[in-house]
Amino acid sequence: MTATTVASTRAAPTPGADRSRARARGLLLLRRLGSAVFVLWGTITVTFIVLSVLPGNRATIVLNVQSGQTTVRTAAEIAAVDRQYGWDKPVVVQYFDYLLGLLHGDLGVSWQLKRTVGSIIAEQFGPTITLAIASLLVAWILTIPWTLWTAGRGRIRGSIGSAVETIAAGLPQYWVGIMLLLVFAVNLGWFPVLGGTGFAGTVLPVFTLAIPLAGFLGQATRTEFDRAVRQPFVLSARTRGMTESGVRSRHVLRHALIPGITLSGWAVGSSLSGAVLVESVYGRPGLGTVLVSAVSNKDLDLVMGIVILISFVYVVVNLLVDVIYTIVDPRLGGTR
Amino acid sequence: MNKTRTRLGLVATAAVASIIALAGCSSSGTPATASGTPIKNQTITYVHEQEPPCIWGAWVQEAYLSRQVFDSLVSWDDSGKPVAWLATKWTTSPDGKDITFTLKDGVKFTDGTPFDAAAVVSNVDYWVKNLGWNSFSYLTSATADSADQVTLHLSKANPEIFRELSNGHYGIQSPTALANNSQAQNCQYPVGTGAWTVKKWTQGQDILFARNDSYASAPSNAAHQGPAYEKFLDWKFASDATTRWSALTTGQTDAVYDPPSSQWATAKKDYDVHSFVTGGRQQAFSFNTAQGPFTDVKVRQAFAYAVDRKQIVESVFKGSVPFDGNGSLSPTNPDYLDVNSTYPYDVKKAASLLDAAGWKLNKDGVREKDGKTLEVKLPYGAGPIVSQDGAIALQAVQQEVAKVGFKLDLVPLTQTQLFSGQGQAPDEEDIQFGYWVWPAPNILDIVYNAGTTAAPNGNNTTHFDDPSVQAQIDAAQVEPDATKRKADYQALQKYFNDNAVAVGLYDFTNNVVTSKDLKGFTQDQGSNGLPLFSDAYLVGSK
Repeated sequence: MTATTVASTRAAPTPGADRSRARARGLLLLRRLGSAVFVLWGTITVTFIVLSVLPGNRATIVLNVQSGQTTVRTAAEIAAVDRQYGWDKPVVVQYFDYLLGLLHGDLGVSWQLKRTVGSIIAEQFGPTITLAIASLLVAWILTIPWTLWTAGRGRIRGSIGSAVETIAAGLPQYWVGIMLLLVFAVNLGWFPVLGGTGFAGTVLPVFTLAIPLAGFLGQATRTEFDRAVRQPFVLSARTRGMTESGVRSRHVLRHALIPGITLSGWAVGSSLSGAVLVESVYGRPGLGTVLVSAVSNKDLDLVMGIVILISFVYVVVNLLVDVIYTIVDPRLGGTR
Repeated sequence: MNKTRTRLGLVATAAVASIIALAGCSSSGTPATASGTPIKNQTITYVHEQEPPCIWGAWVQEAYLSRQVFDSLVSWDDSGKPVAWLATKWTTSPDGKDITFTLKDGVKFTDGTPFDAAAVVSNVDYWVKNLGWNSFSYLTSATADSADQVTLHLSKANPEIFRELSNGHYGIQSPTALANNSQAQNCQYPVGTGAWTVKKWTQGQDILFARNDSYASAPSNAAHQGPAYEKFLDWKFASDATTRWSALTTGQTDAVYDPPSSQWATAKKDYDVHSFVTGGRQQAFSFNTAQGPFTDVKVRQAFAYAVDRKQIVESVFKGSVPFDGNGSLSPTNPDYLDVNSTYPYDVKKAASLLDAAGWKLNKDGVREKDGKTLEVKLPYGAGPIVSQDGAIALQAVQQEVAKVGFKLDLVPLTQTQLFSGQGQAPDEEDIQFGYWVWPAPNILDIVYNAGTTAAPNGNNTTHFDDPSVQAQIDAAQVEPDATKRKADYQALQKYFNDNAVAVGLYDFTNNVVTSKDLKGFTQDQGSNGLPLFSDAYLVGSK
């Protein structure tokens, strides 16, 4: 999908239309920013409320986690901890305190790890975003040739292609992880078992996430591909003398990519928070494990910090997805 | 629904296990020669299971790490006696409440602070403030008598105080660091006098310990004095047992914690295995003696007779973890009483006890009394307290007690529920299942003391409340004569076992498997079996 192909499909713009389009773009950008801020605020508020009302007294958890016990605590013990962390204030006051801190760039301190949330996120974000983006790329690299090779080419090939995708999409990540580990790290010895965050250590975790994801993307792409391949423009391209593979890869595929691209936005977000199983199998650092432990211990500041980060990434990725839509299918540019 | 999932889980576990077995076969070509001279100044890699939030704290997982970085006043020897460590000698006052330690000369913390009596006082204050369960050691304060002499004060006599002081939680930290460093620094990068220092903690991955090159305060029962042989100790974390085991079989680590039980036979054949049964009480059934059907001793005994505990432990853990029938005290503790032959598997006896207690079988095979069915709840901490294998053992128990008419509901608690104290109150459970790591027989005081109405003792999972028995526990605790003390504590264990207040299932066991290329690995003989690497070195193919 090169820039030249995009330009060639566009009509030559007139100068007046250019200016109004620029203004429209500016407005669009403002609207997007506004909605992004709104989404972030909504996420913060909902997360805060959910964590505040979920069962499980926070002070009891603090006392038990710090002493390695699981007992019921007395009111006096709980009151002391609540005072120490400011949890004795009304929830509304705690909420505005938190928002105020956030506006000053203060994400708070994790009571479990006794470190600032900012420093924990800075340390754990790298391995997680690497995993999320790399697995998405690999998933697409697996999906595109597979779709081109199997979709819209008769019933048998199509059925095989579709069956493989369905199975891949249904594979549990934990199982994929253990299998890849046993085959490629234990038996073949190609990759380290506990590889950390280096390149060799990242390959298997990436494939663990990418294989089921490729199944999802493949299914979405195939349905659209089968539809697009019967469109009149395909016939006209063929009558222009275009080769079969040219028609499929330059015209049909472009249509078929849209649903998969929509799914990609979701996939990046979900693999940020959902990588916990992969992290557990490969002993890999990352936000997944940190988030799970923070949620289970009601480490509010840490949960909030990670949730804000993940929703921020969602917002950015979805903006990118919108941009990619217009590149893949320029007709969408005007309507958006 | 629940049952189906359980069965699926078992199938999946079995499938994974057989695949590991296959994997194990094809990679058995790993050289494991015991010959060769020590190769020093290398990195020892160890893969542990759980990653705690801090190096030091009150949770047993933190003691594993503290032990690497801190020294303690005394060390526990496998002869069953305390030996010199940071203290060279000690005397106990006649009433047993004051213990005076003479401290080792010339020891320095890794931040340069000298180790002296004032340092011990700061640490005692810190423990009293921060160790949630410190009161069970009866340690209240300390005074510096001179630069190299310090006296610890107890609220009551505690002949077992040395076992407690030797465990990782009572490691001595730099008073300068405690006073001046941030909470985060003292959590992740605390300062001790120990054999290792924390070089880099990458959360979610590993802690890299670096050798303390000027280490000169090893305990007198260490295999050698002076700095560790190897330069680094890379302490990795992998919560998945298959991953840990794979790291060992592929030669990527020198030691692993807790292998999958399916691999235990292989581990014993091809590697060196180290097992340590922790002190305290074992993974035991604590019956609710305050409310519900288990207030009747016959029902408690029937439950014990109905389960072939020994057979279940053997088939689930495959020899990696022993059966233990004593629900009150661990075999590692002094004054332990072996009750393994009591309550043998006897379905008939269980049934007749239930009949005698008035619980009659209904048409569904569940017992009933006064219109209530014998349905009992067992909440347990899946994960941090009860491992996957432990949960499988509980499912086997569930099936066996069903045969005599118990409807046992297993309620796995999430970590949030567990640590927020859910399923602990008398009206939320009928049986609790779990362990308590503790070095001394006064674990009986911890788990059977009722506390007061205003402050009930939350560790008392049986809700047992009998002032006359409590008086016997209190008397045993301060008894100065060792023989009498043992007799008293054993009589108490017999009482709790005869009355089936709590019965044991399996020992909480710390298993470490090491490569044949790692020599000199030991487990601390205190109550936790903490892995020790300061005497360890690599040989052979490395």
